[in-house]
Amino acid sequence: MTLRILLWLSLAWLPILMFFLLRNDTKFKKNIVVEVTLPFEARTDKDVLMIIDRYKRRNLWANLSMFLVTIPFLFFERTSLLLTLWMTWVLMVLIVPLIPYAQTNAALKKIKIERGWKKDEKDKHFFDLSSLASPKWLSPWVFIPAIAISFLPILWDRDMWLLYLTLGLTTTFFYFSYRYLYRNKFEMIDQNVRLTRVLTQVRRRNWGVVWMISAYGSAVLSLVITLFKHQPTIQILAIAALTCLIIVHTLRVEFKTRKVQEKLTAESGKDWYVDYDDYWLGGIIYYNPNDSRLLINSRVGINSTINLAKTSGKVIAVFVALILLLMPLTGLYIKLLEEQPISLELTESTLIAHRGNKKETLLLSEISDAQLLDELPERMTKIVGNGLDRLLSGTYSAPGFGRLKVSLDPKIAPFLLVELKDGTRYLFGARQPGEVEAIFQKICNR
Amino acid sequence: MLIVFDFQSDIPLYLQLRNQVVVGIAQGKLVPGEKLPTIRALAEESGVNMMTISKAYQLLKREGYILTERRCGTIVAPLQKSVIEESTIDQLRLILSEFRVSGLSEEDTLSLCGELYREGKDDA
Repeated sequence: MTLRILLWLSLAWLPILMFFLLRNDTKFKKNIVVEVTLPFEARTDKDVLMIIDRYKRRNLWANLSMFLVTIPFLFFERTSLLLTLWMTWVLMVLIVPLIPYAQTNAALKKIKIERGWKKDEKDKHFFDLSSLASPKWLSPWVFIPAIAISFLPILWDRDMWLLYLTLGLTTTFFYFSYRYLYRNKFEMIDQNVRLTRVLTQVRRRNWGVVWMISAYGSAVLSLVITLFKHQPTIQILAIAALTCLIIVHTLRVEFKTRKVQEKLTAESGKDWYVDYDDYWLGGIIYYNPNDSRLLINSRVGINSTINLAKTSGKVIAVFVALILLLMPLTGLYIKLLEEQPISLELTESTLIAHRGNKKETLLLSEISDAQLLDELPERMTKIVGNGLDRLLSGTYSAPGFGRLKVSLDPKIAPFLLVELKDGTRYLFGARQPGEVEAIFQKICNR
Repeated sequence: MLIVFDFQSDIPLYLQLRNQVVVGIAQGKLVPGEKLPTIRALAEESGVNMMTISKAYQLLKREGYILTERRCGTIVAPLQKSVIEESTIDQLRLILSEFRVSGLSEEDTLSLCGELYREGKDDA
């Protein structure tokens, strides 16, 4: 039940987020509504307002139904089935609400042509020479303490070095994301240079804030993991709280930026304004063969996206689409892992632990001690490997036992603890009842 | 000063940029000593290759419209009287011939030229 609740808590909020993000697009920002650029007069146009109102209702229903679908997930018991359902659902959450969005975008573009608001400016790019000042980036020293803190636990906790290395590299990645995933482009919407500068500054500053918070969040996460290493419950709660904090803060910055963009451009669109709608297919995909850049700033908020007209953009899009489409197969993969045969075999000179098509062979002459455990060591923590309902494999650590190489089904006791002369410890199990006891007896007899 | 890159035009992009900077200087929208953006910033902004921007800057520098200073970067050069090149006079001759063929009188042509010559100057 814990896993089901955890999964529900960590994913079920996605439609709520989608709802608010998409609903926010119905407010005019930088002359754009639902990714369609319209003049100031459109803000009071009866038909435009009707389309927007209809979209608001459809957005609510699309996301509400996606949210309600998750409630029965709380009652599925099989982990593999549950994961398949969740991953399929995540895929749907990303697609379903975008259908009414793309339809509304098309309806608004149609009305834009009918009203004569569409400009004949295709394949033209405008920018103001006087607003293009060189950007001021945050110094790398702002990020270096966070990077150092993330790597630091490696010094005293060698067991989990891989995890700290991953977190350290993640924090480093946050710095490089800040510096290089941002398209240094000015937020020009009309010929008001001051407005262009302010909009650009707001976006650039908030972009820095998001990555800085993420970097320091990751650093604290590294410390939390090392401090509560042997208190898994506190560790999980702290990780969850910290992750929530980072997500909430990022979203806060995104919505704050949108609010500022909305406020600053409340009166624009009366004279000349830029309109790049032709490059935004369905309001979702950026496709501009004239743009040599891969990374593009989203038109509202602080997000970045990619230019699908570039070959590298297409490759990335196919890769991401494949990952999304393969997500539902996670459950199937876990099911296969959990049903892998786990067994022990004793030959004249070796003890062999089988798991699927993998095996661990130990020389009997190297074994210094063997014990039969009726239950798993307390507070066993995974360092690297699998930790599923019906399979524990890889390297674990437990107080009093140190590092353990594990291959067992936690639901089927007893377990065979084997120690070699060089101090390496193994913890084996078998799915066949009585198999572990029989092997243990034979080892003792020898 | 607003710059427009027209990707459908037959005029190469570097020449579009060069022409607009020259017009900007003539109209007083770009004043001598004014700092111009770096090649990188311009390329990043417009999505155009850095080589294209660099080519336009090199041309402008060669023609004396801009200059590069170690401290300030690229700036608009001080206005100076220079000899009009023969090729420019040929271009003007061709345009004036086109006006004459299309029936525009000398008076109207001079009036139009005066208007265009003064464009932007009144606001500056």
